[in-house]
Amino acid sequence: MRNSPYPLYELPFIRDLKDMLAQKESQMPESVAFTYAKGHGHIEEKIYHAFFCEVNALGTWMHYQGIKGKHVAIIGENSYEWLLAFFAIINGGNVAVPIDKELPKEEVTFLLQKADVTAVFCSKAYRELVEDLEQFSVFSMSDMADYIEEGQQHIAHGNMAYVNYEIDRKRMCCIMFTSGTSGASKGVMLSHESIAEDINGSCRLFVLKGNTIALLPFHHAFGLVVGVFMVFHYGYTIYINKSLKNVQKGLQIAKPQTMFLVPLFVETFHRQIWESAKKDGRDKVLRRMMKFSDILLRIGIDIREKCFASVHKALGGELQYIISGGAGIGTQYIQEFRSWGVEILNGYGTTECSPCAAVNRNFYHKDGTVGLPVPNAKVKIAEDGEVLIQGSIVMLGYYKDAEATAEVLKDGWYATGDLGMLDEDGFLTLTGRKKNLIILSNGENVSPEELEADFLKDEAVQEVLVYEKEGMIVAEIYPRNDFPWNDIPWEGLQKGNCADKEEYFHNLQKQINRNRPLYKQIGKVLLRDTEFAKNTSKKIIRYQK
Amino acid sequence: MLEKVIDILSEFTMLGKDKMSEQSSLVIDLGLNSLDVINVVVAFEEEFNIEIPDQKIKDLATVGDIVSYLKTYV
Repeated sequence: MRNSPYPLYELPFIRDLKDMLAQKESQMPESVAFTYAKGHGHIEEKIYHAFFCEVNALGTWMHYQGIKGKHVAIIGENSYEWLLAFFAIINGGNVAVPIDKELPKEEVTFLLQKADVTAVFCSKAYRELVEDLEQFSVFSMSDMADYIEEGQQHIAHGNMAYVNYEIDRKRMCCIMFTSGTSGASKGVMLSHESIAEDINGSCRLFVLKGNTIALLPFHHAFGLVVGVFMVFHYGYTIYINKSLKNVQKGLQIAKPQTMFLVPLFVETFHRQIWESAKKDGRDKVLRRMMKFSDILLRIGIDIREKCFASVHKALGGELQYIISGGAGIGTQYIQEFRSWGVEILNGYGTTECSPCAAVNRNFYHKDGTVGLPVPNAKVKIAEDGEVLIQGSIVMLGYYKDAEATAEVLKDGWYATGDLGMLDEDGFLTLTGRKKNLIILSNGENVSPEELEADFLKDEAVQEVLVYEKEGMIVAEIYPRNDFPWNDIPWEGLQKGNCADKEEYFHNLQKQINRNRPLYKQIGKVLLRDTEFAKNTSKKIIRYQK
Repeated sequence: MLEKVIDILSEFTMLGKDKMSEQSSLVIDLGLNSLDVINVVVAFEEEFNIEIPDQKIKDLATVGDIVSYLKTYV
C-alpha cells in the first residue's frame, strides 16, 4: 500500500471502559484477552468472558467492603490482577490511582495522601511500600481470587448493584501522577470520557492486526491506555510481561505483531541486534543486505522477512509495527527497523491528553513527525510555537491544584509545553520544549529544578544547572570557591577528607543518586570555573551553553 | 567473587576490567541505562543460578552492591 492518505478505520464507538468490557463480552466472549506466565513455564490464558465476570465480582466485593466513591491506589508489577483491580475500581464509581512501584516509600506515602486515597491494592512484592500505613486499607493482590469468589457469591445471591452501576462519563475515574518528586508531581484527573475518547480516536488512526506484549508499566498512561485498552478494544491478545528481566522469553511466547514502546526499548533492541551480528561476524553482511533489500523494496520487491529472519526471530518472529511514544526517537532507528521489515510509527501524547494526541498511521506516515492528531482532538500552534490541544481527550485538571490547572488549561485548550509545527498535510512535528522538563528516552519526565534543588542543599554548590545530554542527566556545577574540600567529614557515604573537588562532587553525586529510581539518576557531574550567564532578573539562562 | 562480577560486567559493557572497582557505579562509571542494569541482573541470575527480585534491583547501584548481594544469597 502506498504511503498516502486513506480513510479512517471504523470500530464500534465505546462510551467508557465499562461499555468496552460489555461489548467484548457480547462480541467475542471466548477469545483470549490476556496471557501471562504463571508458575513453572505455565502460560495462563484469560478469555474476555472470564475477565468480564471477574471484574464484576471484584467490583461487587469492593462495594461490600464499603469501597464506593473512594480513591483506590494500585501498586505493583504489571499483572492480570493489576488490570482487574483497575477495571473493578473505575467501573463502580471509584477512582483508580496507579502508583509507580519504583518510588521510595516516603514518596509513595506522599502521593497516596495527596490523592486522598483510602484503600490500596498492592502486590506481594511491593507490600513493604505500604506496610505500617494504618490510614489506608491495604488489600493484597495475591488474595484476589478470594475476593472474586466472595463477590461471585454476592452476585449469585442477586446483588447486581455493582454490575448495573451506571457510569457518568464526565466524572473523574483516574488520577495519574506525572513524574516528579514530592511537590513537583501533579495528579492528572482523567474522566471516563477522556480515556474512552482517546481509545476511540487512536483506533481510527492506527489498526492492529495481531497480538501484542505489554512491556511498559501500567501506571503510565501510554502503557495502560494505548498498550492495553486500545488492544483490548481491537480484540487481540495481550501477553502481560511481569518483569523486564523476562523480555526475551516474553517476546518468544507472545510473538507480537505490534509493540508499544518508549525509545529506550527500541534503542536497546537495536543495539542488541547489532552487537549480536558483530559477535557472529555478520555485521558487515547485515549492512550490505540492508542496502540491497532497500533497493529491491524501491522497485516493489520485498525480501525483508527472509533476509532478516534472525532479526525477526529475536523480536518474536511476527513483529510488523512498533508504536513509539513518550519521547522523541531518532530517524536512524526508524529507517533501520524499516530496512529489517518493522515499521516504527512515532506518536505523541501526554498524560494530560489521556494520553495519545497524535500518531503516524500504518500506511500514511512521515519520518521525523509524530503523526496526525487523533480525530477527536484539535491541535493548533500558538504564536510562540507551543502545541495546544483541545477536545474530549483532555484531562479535567490537576487534582486539588487549581493554580497548576489554570496555568495549562485556558479556554479549553491544553498548553502542552512542547513546541511544534503542523505541516500542510496536518502532520505534527515537535521542535523543542517550552517548559523546563527533561524527557528521557524511557518516556519518563524529569524536572531539572527538582534535581537542582537537591544539589543546592549542599553547601559546596554555588550554582547548578541540570540538563539532558545524549540520553544522560548531567549536572553542571559552579562550586563555592572558598569551600574547604579537604576537610569534610562525610556522613553516610565515606568518612574522611576528600582529595579534591572532583572526589567531593563524585561522592555528592552518588549520595543524591541513592534511593532514586535508575532513570532519575545523575549520570555525570561537570564542574565549571565561571558562574553561569544570567538574565536581568539574575536567573540562570538555561539554554545558553 | 569481586573478580567474577567484574568479569561478567566487563564482558557485558565491553569496558576494561581495570576501569572497574568495588566502588564503581553501574550508571555513573559503567554508563549503563535502566534496561542495561536489568539485563546485567539477568546475566548474574544465569551465572549464579539465583533469582534477584525486581524490587531489589534498584538497590544494586555499585559493583560492590552486586558483590554483597551475591555473597549473601549464593
